[in-house]
Amino acid sequence: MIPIWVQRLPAIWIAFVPGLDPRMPPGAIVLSVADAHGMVNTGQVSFDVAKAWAHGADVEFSDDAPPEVRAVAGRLRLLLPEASRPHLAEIGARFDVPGIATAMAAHSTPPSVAILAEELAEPHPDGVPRLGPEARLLRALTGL
Amino acid sequence: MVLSLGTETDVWNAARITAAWGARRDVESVEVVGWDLTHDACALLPGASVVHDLPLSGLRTRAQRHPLAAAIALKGAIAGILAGRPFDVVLNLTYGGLAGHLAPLFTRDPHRVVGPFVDETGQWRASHPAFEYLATWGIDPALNVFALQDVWSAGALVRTDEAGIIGVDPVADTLVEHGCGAGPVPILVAPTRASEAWLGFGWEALVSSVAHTAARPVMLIAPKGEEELVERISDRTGADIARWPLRHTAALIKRCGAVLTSDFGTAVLAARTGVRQILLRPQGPVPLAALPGPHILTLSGATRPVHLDAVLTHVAWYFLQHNGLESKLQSAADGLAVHEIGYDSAGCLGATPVSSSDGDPAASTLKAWRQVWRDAWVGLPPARRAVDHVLKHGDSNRLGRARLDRGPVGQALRKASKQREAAA
Repeated sequence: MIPIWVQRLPAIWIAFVPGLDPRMPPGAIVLSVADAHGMVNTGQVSFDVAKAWAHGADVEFSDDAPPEVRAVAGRLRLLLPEASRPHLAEIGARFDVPGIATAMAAHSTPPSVAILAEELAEPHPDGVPRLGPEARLLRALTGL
Repeated sequence: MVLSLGTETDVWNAARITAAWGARRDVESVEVVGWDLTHDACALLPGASVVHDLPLSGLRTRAQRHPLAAAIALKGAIAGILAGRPFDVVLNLTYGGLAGHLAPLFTRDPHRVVGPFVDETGQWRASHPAFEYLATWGIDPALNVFALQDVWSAGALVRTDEAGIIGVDPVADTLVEHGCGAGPVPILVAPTRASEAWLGFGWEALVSSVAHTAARPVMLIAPKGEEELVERISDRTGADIARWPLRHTAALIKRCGAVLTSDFGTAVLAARTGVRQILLRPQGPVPLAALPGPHILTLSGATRPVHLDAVLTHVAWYFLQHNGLESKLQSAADGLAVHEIGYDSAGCLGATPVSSSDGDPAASTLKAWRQVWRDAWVGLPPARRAVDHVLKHGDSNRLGRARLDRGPVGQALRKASKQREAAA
């Protein structure tokens, strides 16, 4: 009943030769080094990469990766929060958490769960904010 | 649906509740939602037909790295559990913000949550005074007058004396495969390192002596984190170790019918299988809140190391039902507090002193205090005699008078006190 990806974070895997690397985590998004350079140079990432990042994916590579791969991976890591922002609304809509995605898009770097939870409380005429399902999800997560 | 997001011990405390709800004619099925780490413990719950897992480590990792990732994962996990079919009733058996916020998400109507939950304004709601007890008094051992198991059961609208025994097959083939199907039934020992200094003798000596006294083999089971200790004891005594999955361990406990332990988690599991056990505790008399279940003899007392003979005498009396030990029991209990835990006449867990040379001056006040609470739960005014006792002796015991003012019990006590003053 529970999606497999819940059990492990996906990865954005950079490799010189994209293909079946036994060290690559299951469900990884694979980028060639050229693709990674392209993203870093243009400041834009594909929807799939942004979606993987929104799922919590880190930029990874094999242990024996050359310095060039390590360098571009480091730059891509720094770039992802900003480059993914244009895609957040669509990702939020696709996974039925539009409010959280919109609130996240307003931040230049990922905020903490607690900060987002506060932002998602809905104003009410009686002055007491109300908790919708998305705010509940985040508040629950602060209790982990 | 039963929401139990805690440890294995917390999960087993739900056994009486799942058993009772599973037996109700108006209940189609009882499904349990727990952490993936406690799946095996949840699967033992009587009356539960389905166990759903929430991925604890996966959610924690995502929550630290990316809030959206965590929210998507949690929402996906909930959707997978619901499969488009919200539950009619949610029994929340976990106190804390995580479960309090999640519980309403599993049902169509948030007011169908039984137990504590957070409403749409962010306020805690409780469906029973039992949860007010938890919220205002917590698990302060000095203040608790009820076992937490009873509090949760009362909160879940279950009569507290319902048994909730784990349904495992004590003669399962697996036990035979593990060499435990024939021959003398072993006594199980689940030791902990923390108890060794207090015991005054090594677990090896106890294991060897118990085997000799009982003329039965001893089998070791390792509490979490105690694998090294159990290996050491096994090496030195030759006792076998049961390294089995949880369900088979529960079946083994049920078949053996006697557990000697200093591990609280093992004690709760053994209590839920309905067997007799002796629980060795260094920390004085067992706090009422933490009573693990019925059919337990607790030996405790921090005054001095315990003599091996004292434990063996109680093993002979409680496990082996040897007669004529009364005088020996008296001397064996010197410096110890010995209590037998069982259900009292009201169906609540209680610890009855078997023998205690230390004495417990607060015991009568705790009893009176417990009576006041029990009356308050069922809407009765407090009994005059109990109130008098609490008011007279409350300052000298551990009840913490400053906290008396909270909640309905404090109100009832004040009212009774005023009436008494007026009458005077």
